[in-house]
Amino acid sequence: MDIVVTVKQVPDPDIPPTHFRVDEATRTVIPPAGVSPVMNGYDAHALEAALRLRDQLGGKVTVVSLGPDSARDALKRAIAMGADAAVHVNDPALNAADSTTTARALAAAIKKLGHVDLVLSGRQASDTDGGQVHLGIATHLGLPAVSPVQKIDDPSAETVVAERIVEDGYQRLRVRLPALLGVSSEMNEPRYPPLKGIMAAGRAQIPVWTAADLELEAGQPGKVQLRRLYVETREASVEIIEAESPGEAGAKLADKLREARLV
Amino acid sequence: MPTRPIGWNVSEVAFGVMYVLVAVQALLLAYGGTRRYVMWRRGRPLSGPLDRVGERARHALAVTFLHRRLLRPGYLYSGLMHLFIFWGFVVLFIGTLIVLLEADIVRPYFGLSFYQGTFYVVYKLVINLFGLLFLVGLLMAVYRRYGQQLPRFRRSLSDDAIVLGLLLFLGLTGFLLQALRLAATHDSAAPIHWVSYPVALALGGVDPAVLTGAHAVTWWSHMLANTALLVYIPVSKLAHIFTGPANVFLRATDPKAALNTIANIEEQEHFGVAKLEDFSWKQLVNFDACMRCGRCLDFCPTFNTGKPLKPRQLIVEIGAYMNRQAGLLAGPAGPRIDEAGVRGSELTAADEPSLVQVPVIANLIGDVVSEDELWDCTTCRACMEQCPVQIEHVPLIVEMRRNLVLEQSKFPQELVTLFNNLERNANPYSFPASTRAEWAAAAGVQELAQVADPSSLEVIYWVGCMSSFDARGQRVATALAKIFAAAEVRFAILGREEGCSGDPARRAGNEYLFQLLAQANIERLNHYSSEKRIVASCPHCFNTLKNEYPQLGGNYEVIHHSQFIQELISSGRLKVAPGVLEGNGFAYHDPCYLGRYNEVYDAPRDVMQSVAGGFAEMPRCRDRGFCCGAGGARAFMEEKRGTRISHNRLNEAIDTRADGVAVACPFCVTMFEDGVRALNVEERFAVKDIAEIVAAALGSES
Repeated sequence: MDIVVTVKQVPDPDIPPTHFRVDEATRTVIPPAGVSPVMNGYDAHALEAALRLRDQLGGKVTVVSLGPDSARDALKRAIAMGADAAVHVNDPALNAADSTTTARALAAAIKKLGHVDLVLSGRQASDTDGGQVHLGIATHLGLPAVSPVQKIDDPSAETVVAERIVEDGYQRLRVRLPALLGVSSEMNEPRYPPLKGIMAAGRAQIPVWTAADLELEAGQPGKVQLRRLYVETREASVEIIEAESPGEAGAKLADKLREARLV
Repeated sequence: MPTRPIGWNVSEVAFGVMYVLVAVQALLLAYGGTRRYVMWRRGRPLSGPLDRVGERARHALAVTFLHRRLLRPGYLYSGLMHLFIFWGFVVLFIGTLIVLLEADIVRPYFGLSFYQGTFYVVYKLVINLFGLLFLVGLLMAVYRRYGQQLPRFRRSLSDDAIVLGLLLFLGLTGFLLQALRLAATHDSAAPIHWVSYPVALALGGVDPAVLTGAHAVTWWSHMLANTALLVYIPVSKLAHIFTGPANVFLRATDPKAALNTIANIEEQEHFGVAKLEDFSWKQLVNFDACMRCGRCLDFCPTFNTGKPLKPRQLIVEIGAYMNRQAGLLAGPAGPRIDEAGVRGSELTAADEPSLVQVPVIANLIGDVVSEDELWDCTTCRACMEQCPVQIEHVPLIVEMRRNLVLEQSKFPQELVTLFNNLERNANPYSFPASTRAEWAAAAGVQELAQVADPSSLEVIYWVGCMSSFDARGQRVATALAKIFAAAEVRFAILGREEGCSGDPARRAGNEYLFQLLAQANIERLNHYSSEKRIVASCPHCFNTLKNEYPQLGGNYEVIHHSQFIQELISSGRLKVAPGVLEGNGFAYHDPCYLGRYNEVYDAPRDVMQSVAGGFAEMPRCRDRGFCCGAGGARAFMEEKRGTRISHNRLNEAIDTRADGVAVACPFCVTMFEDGVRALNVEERFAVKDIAEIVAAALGSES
């Protein structure tokens, strides 16, 4: 089974939000210094699922990531964990891509890879929590998509059974291949790479594809535009209500709350 | 002139047979020994154990002949027991050689004789004494194994009975031979045979012909038993007569707290130990040196809390697996699961010696040693400290962990989190490295990078992750900063430039991650001049920086905060009122990596003496201390099997009637803090680092 896994490099989700700074002029988030970004957690679960399917059925796992130079580390991590190949989509024109553009670029990369039985993606990325890209990829490739999926069962050459998480439980869906599944963290525990994998990843040459390589039409605007990025400011003020008796204080407090339209 | 006819009542034929038997014995002994030697050579080559021969020989001789490791506090009975058997055996053997020298060399070739007169009298007095000691020692051994009902001897093997039976039979028939000859020949020098003389007197009335006949029967049985013994030595636990001293001779002489490093780790294809041949030849000798005495169990945290790992079982089972693979007589092998489905429980019938070959499919890890056993170990070194023949258990376990981690990527899920955190944040938690010095800013402590003139500093305080990030640990660091200030010590911390020392990674088998972390730290420390003293408040960091960083090119003078505080007090720089704490004071708990690994036992005790006017000593203390359960990366794993190690230790501390336990390690602090809450004694039982106790004593003075 030939599987493609999409991975995104994200800021370490363990960093407390207060450590980030926001540059409102360039509309970018600046993570604290000295903290290396990591592979998105859900993507690691997707990769683990792909590796297990490959180990069971044979075939090949290819990881694809769109991102700047630093995203190569996430791809190397994937190779260390056991992926057979990786492709890095890297183009300055795509640096500020929104989810539609990202989906278009990744779909083009997957198409360029040739034969694919299954595309596995994380259900969402921990930085934006959008959950849009993988569904966009499926749209562009014309694949059936199921997300979020907590279990993959009974894989064969034609179909797999996907357990989709719904509000009160889950659905079991038999999906015709090729298909795309959005993997949730219930699926598995991602492995820690063996040292041989880490060494292999260190030596691996990862091909870089640009927008031109993917024959992406230039100038297609994204559907989402970031207008402003800012940290919410919070203001607090204290007012002591003076009153003769608790009853009177209560009444005055109620008036104040009504004035402030809080009740 | 008193003497005796050598070979009285023994025919020339019998003598001939005896010499043939001796030759056969020697050949079989040599054959058994060679088989073992060939088996050990299957291990990886290693040159270390054969360096510094003189020093090694001196140590091995002292351990063997003076019983340095057998006669220790708490082991008086078993130490004397072995001493009696050992010296009895040695002197009787020398005695036999003396007779051989007289009868077969001096007399026939030189026509001289020395086996008479005063020499003969002294010889007989001495031989009788040591023969008696031999018997006394053996009877003590019989009582110890079968009478005392010790937990570690709940099960014995037939090998244990055969060995004791054979030796007792030899000792008794030896005296009986003497008594029968004295009675039959009416020897005028009989009284100098002071042990057998009373027996000879008792036999006085028996018909001499009967005595002569009985003597012949006894002589033959003595001789055959002797042959049996010598043939049995190489295939039984008696092999320790040779393998024990050999193992002591070959022991690791590097700083005992350092695990070996994997050089050029990035170019290796295979990591750690997955099969017997992956052990070094020296490590294979370990398995044959064990005589199952069980001292490794006495202070073992896993054995004493009902966990699968029992160090004796680990050694016995791998040893038996090794011997059976080599076709040698030995104990258990292959997959062994007892009735309860638990591996590695007490010795069982499966441990009986057998020649059954091991099925080739049996894997070392999984079938002979379970993964649970390997992950149970806290690396506290109690087994190694107590082992009389210096078997090195902990490195064996870490080697197998290395294979599981670096090659098979198979380990408890909690360790995935640990490794990921160490990789990303250079600490075991999910705190960003950038927040490492936040406690210091609050406590007014400087980071080295902010110090204008680092050369003016006296020491670098190595804080460690626990005291940098954990709220409880930060209180220890803050207390220590207060002590430094009171003694006017100019110091700074590495702060955001400090990272995990690598101890938990290395002990969990992730040697690669350890080397990455260590190299990063060494680079920073070398940048700030390696001549400065480093004071560490975590014994794990202390040990790793002091004993393991030299392997990677980091050579520093590292001391633990207990040593530094003691130094400040004794030099008068730190003034503490020699107060006495209210109530019953503290019990002191030895952290394993401070005590057993680095033999820092007295500094923390002296500090307690100075500031608290003393402390309560627990029964299990110093080199016989009991682990808190946190070492060997166990602090980051769940304790699912058996009972809690920390509760076992806490209960011991509470039993001293102290009001709290004083420790010198942030991991012990956290284990015991969790423990007092779980045992519901947090209201009446305190957990304090000695730095906190000292800092509090300063506060009361000002």
